Amino acid sequence: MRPFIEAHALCHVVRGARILDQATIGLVPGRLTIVIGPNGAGKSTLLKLLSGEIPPSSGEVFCAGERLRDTPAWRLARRRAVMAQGALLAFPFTVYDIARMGFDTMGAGLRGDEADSVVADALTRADIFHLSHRRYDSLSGGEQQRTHFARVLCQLSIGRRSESAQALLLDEPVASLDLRHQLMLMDAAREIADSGVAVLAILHDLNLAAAYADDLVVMQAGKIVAKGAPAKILAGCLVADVFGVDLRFCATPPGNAPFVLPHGHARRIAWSRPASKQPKFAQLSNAEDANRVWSRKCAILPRNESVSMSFSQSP
Amino acid sequence: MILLLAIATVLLFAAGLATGPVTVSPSRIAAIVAAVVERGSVADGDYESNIFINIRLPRVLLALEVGAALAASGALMQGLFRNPLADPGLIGVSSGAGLAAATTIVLGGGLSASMVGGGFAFPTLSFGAFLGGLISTSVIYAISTRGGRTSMATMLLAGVGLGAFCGALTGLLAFWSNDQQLRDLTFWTLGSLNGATWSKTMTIAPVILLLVASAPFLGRSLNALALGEAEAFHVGVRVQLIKMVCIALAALAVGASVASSGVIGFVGLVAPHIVRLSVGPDNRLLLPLATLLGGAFLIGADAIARKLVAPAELPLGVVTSAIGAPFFLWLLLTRSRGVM
Repeated sequence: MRPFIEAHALCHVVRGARILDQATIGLVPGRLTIVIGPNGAGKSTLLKLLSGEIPPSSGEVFCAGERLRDTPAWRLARRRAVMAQGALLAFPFTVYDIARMGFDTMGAGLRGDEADSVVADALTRADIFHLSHRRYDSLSGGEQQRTHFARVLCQLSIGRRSESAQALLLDEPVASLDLRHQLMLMDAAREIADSGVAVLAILHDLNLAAAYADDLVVMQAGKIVAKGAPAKILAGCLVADVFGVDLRFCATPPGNAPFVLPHGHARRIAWSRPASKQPKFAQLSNAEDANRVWSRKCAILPRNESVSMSFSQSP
Repeated sequence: MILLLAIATVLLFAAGLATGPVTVSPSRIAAIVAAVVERGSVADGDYESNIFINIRLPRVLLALEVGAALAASGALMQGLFRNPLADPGLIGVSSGAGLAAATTIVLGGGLSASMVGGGFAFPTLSFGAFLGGLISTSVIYAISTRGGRTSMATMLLAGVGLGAFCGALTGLLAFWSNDQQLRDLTFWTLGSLNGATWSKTMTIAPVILLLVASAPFLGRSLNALALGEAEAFHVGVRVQLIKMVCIALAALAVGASVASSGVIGFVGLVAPHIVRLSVGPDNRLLLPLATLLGGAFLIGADAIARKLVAPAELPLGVVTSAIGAPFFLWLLLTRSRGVM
């Protein structure tokens, strides 16, 4: 099937630093794509470029076959919904108000009771309906996150009336949710994907990623280093190397979904830089560790001299 | 709520017409208006109706316009900057207009001295101030716009920076000025509706009507902006366009009101706040209500400024702050509990 959102050779450079380097990705309707990777790998930047929030330094993003930069904001809003990380609200709106903002600026004239039922439905699905009239700033972090999820659901359900295909982009949607709500939100994302929406989510929980993803995308230092089915990706030593931890992979009985068991301590990570810029303390610690350090070879991970980070581990 | 405030505005409008050094009773007002409508002009010898038609009516109308313009611009700026402390002064209109006015008063003294007498030298001073406000806003806008995107944080800082610079120059001009000029300058920086004429009222009316008429259409977009600029874009707001429209509208309206009646503080900051405290932050309601409240508030303040020390009058800025600030603080104490 043809991807609904398609990006080719995306680069994003900020003051000479390559935040995103040659990323190529396609989001296919009906599939749930999950992006994993350590902090600063460029996951959120990738999502921002795919949503059109920031223009790429080079490369191009297409949504529904149309160049993103040529699509007006209101039309884009009907085609894709975005849930970003931790939105800070300037004024004391209520949960209901915020959910409604999902479609208020989309230019879809809606009757009052019709709008009400769409909002109520979304609030119920996000399990925040009981707090509809509470002020946003009086909510806990997880409740705030669910409020934004309700807003995104509103946006999708109104956008669906005029668009045949849609995408949903989620940046760490479960970051502050409790276990039950994490699963509820991921179930909802799964349902949305099953209804024909192309869904992309950034997650830090590898087990959640393994359990829900159709496609897993691994990012490191601005590059997409692997793409594919979770079972395949998690099987090798790639993920362990990318995150710099020792992992043991197991499989759970139902459906043989792989799960990950971290053990021991985090690996020591040496931050190597070009010699001219290398701070003194880093050299000292490198010298000290030099004879204890061994580098783990991994066939799947392409070694690139320009990548500024390398992993090392003490035995 | 809108209805209530509209009624209050009409009542205050009538009260504003009635009060002043010469009190015109409501029944007299009706009679005068009826007579003027019937004849199409003011009776020559009629002292009372002359005062009413040519002095008081334009003045109260001007108060309504200026108050509405300041309050609506304040609401727009608070929404745009996502900051409840924002006021129209932030985009440099007031400081630029102030500097231009000071320049006209002090350096252009010979030119306009004869006209400064009772009110302000309307064409030169007002036009200069209006232009000064627009120029400084354009400078701030240019400084904070890179690659087609305006950074509101940069704009805030640029506004503070340019404001300080304009303030320094204004201070320098005040230092050079003689006593009469200094008095004019002081009066101007505190604001006054003295010198309201039909021509003034009508000149600034289109600009202010433009703002008042378009503000309701910006409500939804400003609501979405409360989520953040990125989120507003995600839900379909053309963020850069909204920024440009809001800044342009506010600069024009505030420039026009400062040009016609000097710098009147507090209204633009507080009118939106009072509305927000009573009906919540929804800009679709906030914008029209704040506009009405600003107009009503300034009519009332102007009536007090005229009545309190009649036949002299207090600077309007003194009255707005002296009444508004304690009321606002009281409102904060009793209602808010962290609303801001």
